[in-house]
Parts: sequence; C-alpha cells; structure tokens
Amino acid sequence: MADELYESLNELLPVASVVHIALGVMALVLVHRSSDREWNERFAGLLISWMMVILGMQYVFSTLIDYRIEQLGTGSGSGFFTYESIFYSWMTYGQSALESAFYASIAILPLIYPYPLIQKKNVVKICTIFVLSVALVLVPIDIFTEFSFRGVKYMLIWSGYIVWTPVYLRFLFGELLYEEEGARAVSSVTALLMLGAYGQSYIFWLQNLTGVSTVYFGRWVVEDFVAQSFLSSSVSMVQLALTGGTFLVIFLGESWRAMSRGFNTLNAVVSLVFVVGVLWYLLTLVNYGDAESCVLTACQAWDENFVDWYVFTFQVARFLGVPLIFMFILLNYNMVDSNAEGSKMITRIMVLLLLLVATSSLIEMIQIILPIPEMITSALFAGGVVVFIGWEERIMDQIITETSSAAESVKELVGVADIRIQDGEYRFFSMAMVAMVCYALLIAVLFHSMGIHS
Amino acid sequence: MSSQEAEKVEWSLADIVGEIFSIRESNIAASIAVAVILISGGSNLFGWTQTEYAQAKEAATDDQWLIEFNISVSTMVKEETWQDEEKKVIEFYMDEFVFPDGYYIGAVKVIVKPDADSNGTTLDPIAQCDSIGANIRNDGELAAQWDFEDNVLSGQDSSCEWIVLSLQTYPGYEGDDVNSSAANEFQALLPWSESGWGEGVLAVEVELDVNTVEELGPVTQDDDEDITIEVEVSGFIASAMLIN
Repeated sequence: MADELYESLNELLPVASVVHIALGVMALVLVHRSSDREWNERFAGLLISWMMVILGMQYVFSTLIDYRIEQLGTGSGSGFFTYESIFYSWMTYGQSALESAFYASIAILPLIYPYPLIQKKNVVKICTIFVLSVALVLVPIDIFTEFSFRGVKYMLIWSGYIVWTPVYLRFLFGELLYEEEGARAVSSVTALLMLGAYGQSYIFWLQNLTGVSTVYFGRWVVEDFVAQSFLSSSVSMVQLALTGGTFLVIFLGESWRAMSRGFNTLNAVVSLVFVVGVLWYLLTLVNYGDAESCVLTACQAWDENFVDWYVFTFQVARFLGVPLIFMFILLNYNMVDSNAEGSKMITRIMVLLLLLVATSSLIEMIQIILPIPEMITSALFAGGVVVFIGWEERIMDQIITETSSAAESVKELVGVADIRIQDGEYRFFSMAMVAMVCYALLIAVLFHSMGIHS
Repeated sequence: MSSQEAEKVEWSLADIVGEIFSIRESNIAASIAVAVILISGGSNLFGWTQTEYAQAKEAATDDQWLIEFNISVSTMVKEETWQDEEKKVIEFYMDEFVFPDGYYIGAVKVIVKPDADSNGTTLDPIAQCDSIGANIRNDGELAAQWDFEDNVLSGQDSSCEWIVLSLQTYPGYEGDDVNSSAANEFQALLPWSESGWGEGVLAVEVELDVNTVEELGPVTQDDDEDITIEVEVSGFIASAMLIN
C-alpha cells in the first residue's frame, strides 16, 4: 500500500513536464508576435515563457529520476540502481542544473514587471547578462556542493517577496484609498505573480509563519541523502517567514478589497490557499509525532491519508496551479497579442490544453483516494471535454476582449521611462536562454561522465 | 507624477523606489508586514540555529554503541523412558519458561542425557551404551533462526555422552556483547527489541537404539533406556553504552 502511495506522489510529473514545455513554446511564439506591447510586458512574457520551458525540462529529469527510483535494487552490473547511483547521475545533475537556470531567470521577473525597477535602455542586456552570469556560477557550484546549499540558491526568488509585496500594497492602497483608476490591474497581476511563483509554498503559510514547518527540516536533515548545510537550512528559516508573511499581506489585502469592492475570482483563489494553509497547519500538528520521529527516535512512515493530502495540495499547486496562473497572466494581462495573425489559434490550443489537462489530472488525483471505476472517470472526462469545447469560445472571447494592461496602468499612474527595445534584443535574450539551457545540460552530462562524485 | 517626468528616457533607482513607497498608508502596512516577517523569521532562525539543527544533526550522525546483554536462563527438564528403536517427540511450550518483564528469548539449548547407569552397573557390568539420536524439529511451531549456520539441530551418541543441541531464536543473538553503529540509544537498541522470537512450541525428537550383549548379560535384558531432556532457554535484555 505504501509503495502504491509513493507512486501516486509523482503521477503528475510526466503530465506537468509535457504541459509546461508545450505551453512555454506556444507562449514563446505568441510573445514574439506581440511586437506592439509595452517593453516590460513583452519581456516579462518572454521570461515567463522561458521559465515554463525550463520548468518542463526540469520535470522531464524529475520523471526519469522517479522512474529509476521505482527500479531501485534491480538491474545488474553497472546498471544496478542504488539510490547513490541515481543521486550522483546525469539525471539529478540535469534536474538541479535546470532548477538553477530557472531560479536565475525568475530572479529578474520582479525587477521588470509589473512595475519596472530597471528603467534603462539596455535593460534587456543587463538582465541577460545577469541571468547568464548567475547560471554560469550557480549550475556547477550546486552540483559540486552536492545540492546542499539549496536554501542559499532559493534566495534568488526573494526578489519577488521584496519587490512585489510593496508594489502590491502601493497599488492596492492607491485603488482603495485614492481611487486610482487602473491600479487594480497592477495589484491583481502582482498578487497573481506571487501566487504563481510561490503558490506551492503559500499553502504552508501558517505553519511557516508560526515556525511549525521547522519540524520537517529536522526530518530532512536525517533523511536526506546529503543533508542541507547549516547555512542553507538557516537561510530557509527566513524564507519560511517571508512566505507566511507575504501571503498574509495578500490575503488581508484581498479581503479588505472584497469588503469594499465585492468578491471576485482572485479572492476565491486566495481564500482557498488560506484555508489549505490552515488545514496544513492542523495536519502537521496531528502528524507532528511522525515528523519529529527521525530526530527523537527512528523515522516513522507518514500516514497514508497525510500523503494523499500532500499529493492533492502541494503537487496540484505546483504542477497544475503554476502553469494555470502564469498562462492566465500571459493571456489576461495583455502580454501577448492574441488577436494577431495566427495567434488566435495558438491561444485557443493553449486554453484547451490547460483546461483539459487540468481536468484529467484532477480526475486522476481523485482516483487515488476514491475507488471510482475507470468507466465513470472516463465519462466524467468526456463530459468535461464537451463542456470546455462549448465554453471555449466564451472563454476565448473573455480572454481576448476583457484584458487589462498592468504596464499601461503603471505608465498612467506613476509614469515610467520611455524605453524602446529592438526586436533583436529580445531575440538575443532568447538565444541566451537557449545557451543557458545547453550549458546546464552539458554540465550535467559531462560531470556525470567524469564521475566527479565517485 | 507629471507627464513631463513620465516622458523621461531613464529614471534613477531612487525615483523608481520612491514611487513604490509614495503612499503613506501603504508604507505603514508594509512596515507591519516587515515587522511580522522579522519576528517570525527571527524566531524560526533562533530555534533552528540554537537547538533544532544540532538535534537533527546529532540524530543523523551515527555513534558507536556497545550492546550489552543481561542474560537470564530458564530451565525445564523432562525425563522419560524409551523402548528399543522407539522414536518420540517431546514438546516444550515456550511460554512455560519464565523470564522477568522485558526479556526477549535469545537462544535455546537442549541437552539430551542418557541414563547414568547405562554404561555398566554392578548388576550388569558389561552393559553397553545405547545409541541415541536427537534433533530439534522445525515443524513451523517455533519462531526462530532456523537457517543460522551455527545452530546444532541434530546429534547422535553411543558413548553415553550428553548430546547438546542449540538453536538461535533471536536474530543475531549469540550471547556476547556486540558493537553497533546508530544515531542514538533508541536506534541502537531497536534491533534488540523485536518481540515474537522464541514463541511457540519446541519439539525435540529422540530415537533410541539399545545396544545389548544378549549372551553374556547375567541378569537383565537391556531393552529400554531412561533419557533426560533438559532445555535451557536464554532470555536477554539489551542495554546500550556509548563508546565514542
């Protein structure tokens, strides 16, 4: 039973890798066709598209690792799979290298969108050099240190906590207290960006804020093949507070807005995360004994239902929530020109792909806990397809016509420098991203073939 | 922000950051958020760096432990008479061996003792030792380490010596202190706290083949034998002592 459960943990991985890569590539095409958008909208769209592609490639490696873990203790000769042989392999190196590339990329997103902190003519060049430099250093160091400084690596995404939180508050207060027109576009897209970037951490907001989460870090020190270093885990303690604190800001901000302007979809999403966070806190308390068993006595296995809960919340938030939110931002906040020639069809495919994959994955997840026969789930899925095809036109119309531009709002409300970016610079950025991915993959393969940890 | 300013080609970072913090109420809210994050982060960091990390690291690091066994032996004796060429199975119910609370059954020792007079007496001075075969039967009734290579599960004797059989019941138990590598005392003792081993019924099969000198025996015809079966069960309780 336990084995079946742990298999179910990663059922979403292969789906997630395909979805991320497909959506990322389609979004790249759309962004390159959207030449009339504000520079930071276009650049952010480009960055998000590349982030999706890199995440998808990272999940390909994670899928391969999972597949090998299922074969632990099998094989023969040099093909005998032990945990060590998987940990020190091109798969783990590749997964980690792409994760480093992802963090190097996402670090600059808050600096350019929705409110650009870098307002210089050569902003794309600066960002490209930053991403390349960080990846150049981070990819090999992460592998050299046997991934024991992840907490330090994750500091790259702190830029989002530090920049987006005051930007969100600035425009939320601007709308609610000073009736600034268009400020909502900025505050809502900022909240969505934070949910997209940190959604999978936000579901632990209460236990992170209260410090209950530290019990898991203690367990990981004992359980992990190579434990996180003192510095790395200490830095993670601060990140826990940042996660809990910034989510609380969004929740209170959206609740305040809901009271004066009415309830909307973003409120519903934030409230859902809030409730999931409270439940996670309570369930961690319930399973506290199991969690700290590794430190006090001997590691106890997790309760089966607790594992199911983890699959339902963390994995769904990470593998389905992230692409859903980022694609919604791309389509709904005017980053791509979905009306351009040929773009409408790609947008339509993106929307359908997202909706259908989300539906089928959720049905798959439900099957983990409820023994529903496949006939019924197939019928449910078919029903979902029919509904989505029926709604597709309506959803598309809504996306195309009811878009709001956060960049335009920022320009009107606070003003930004008038910057013109040449198409060639965007292409240069894309080429740099391709080079970064190739570098990461090459490092992974070379390090493995040279056996740096053997 | 005037429209002239908005048309500037490049802005300084101070101008840009200044715009983010241009609303007083928003700054107050941001300050409260920073305070909450500092308190929470400080508390998390303090707990982790002062105690939790050290505890976890300690739990993750293996120490060397000396596992000492406090041994208690419980004995049961059965004496029966075997006829020539008779084979009998004598059963010992393991729950009839009494041990203090918390003890686990480590090993079983079976001693098959032939009659002390069988090697000649004043009445029958030329009587010969009988041939006795004994074995501990593995009929699935006793939870023990049947495949342990140092077990002595069968024996035979025709010189009036005792037949000594042994069976390890608890995995790895040989009666001597052992060294162990474990993160803490609990984990060091974990392999020595499995209940269930040594439970069930011990079946000892004994077969007798009488050796007699029919023509010269003056008084009695030797066609039976009194055999004593003594079972010693070793119970243990383990304690761990940190070596380094």
